[in-house]
Amino acid sequence: MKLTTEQIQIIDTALYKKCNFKDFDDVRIELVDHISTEIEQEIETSLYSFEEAFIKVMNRWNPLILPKSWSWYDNVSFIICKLWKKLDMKFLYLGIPFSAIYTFFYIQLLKQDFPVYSITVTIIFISIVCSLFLVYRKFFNKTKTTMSSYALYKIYGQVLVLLLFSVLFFINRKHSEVYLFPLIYASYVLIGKAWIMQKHIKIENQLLKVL
Amino acid sequence: MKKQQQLYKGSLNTIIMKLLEQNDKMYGYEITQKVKEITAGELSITEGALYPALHKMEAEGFLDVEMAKVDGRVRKYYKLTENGVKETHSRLEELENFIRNMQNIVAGPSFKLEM
Repeated sequence: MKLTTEQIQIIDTALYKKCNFKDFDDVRIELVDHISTEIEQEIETSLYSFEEAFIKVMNRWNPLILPKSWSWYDNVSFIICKLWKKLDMKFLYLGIPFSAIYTFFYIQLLKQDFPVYSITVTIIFISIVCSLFLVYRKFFNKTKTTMSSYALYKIYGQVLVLLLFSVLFFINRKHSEVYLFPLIYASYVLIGKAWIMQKHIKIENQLLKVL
Repeated sequence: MKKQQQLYKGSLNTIIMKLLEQNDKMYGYEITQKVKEITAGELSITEGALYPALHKMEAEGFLDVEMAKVDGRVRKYYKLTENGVKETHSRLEELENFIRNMQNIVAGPSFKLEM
């Protein structure tokens, strides 16, 4: 037996409101489909009513979909957090050794009159463009996906850090290396987030076709 | 059975990719059912393992997503990208080598377990 539109809406609302999937349209629609199929199976094989099957299936899903706090992520379900933690590893944590190595080479190469300052200015310019793109998307995203919510998480704070250290870097050109580590780290994170946002746009285009 | 699940765990991504290579595009529920069917119920992929694996491979660019309206709801299909196909072949090769080596070790004449 196929579920009615109203019954599908009940599942969607449960995920949206109780499980806090309002910022993850892509995963929510996927789970609505999976849970609906399981409920249909339960109704067919166990002859349950929709309500009974709904409770049974949702109880099984609860550990995966109920929001919890995972390190600094509040109110996020296990399914979302798994991907976010992998992205953290790639962008937030890998950015630390990358920035340290860059700062080390910057100091060494500056002594040898290598044009490392211009290279750094180019990186800062790219990261500012990426920041503008992210802030623009913050206002004009038509859907919210796992990728976009990750990319826009604490975005204003990160953009502020980038701008603040960029200003300090340019004002104190003689001692620019002092501000380099946080500046390169913020650039790395924001360029990475812009790359994630590109992936969101692809998913958003798919979502807009069917929603 | 539980120990066997542990053995499969490391190959989860390869299993999913192989299925997608054979079936062009599949959705989450379909993947879990197909695995159950192929392994005659020996292996069941839990949703807690399946979706994070799919989302990770999607983020890495190995999978593409296609959405369609089916039975009044939106269905999200996964399919391999070009990179995904290459990665599948390389992972399958690695897995085949691993299985061959394990067979040689386990079935070899000098193999015995010592406590």
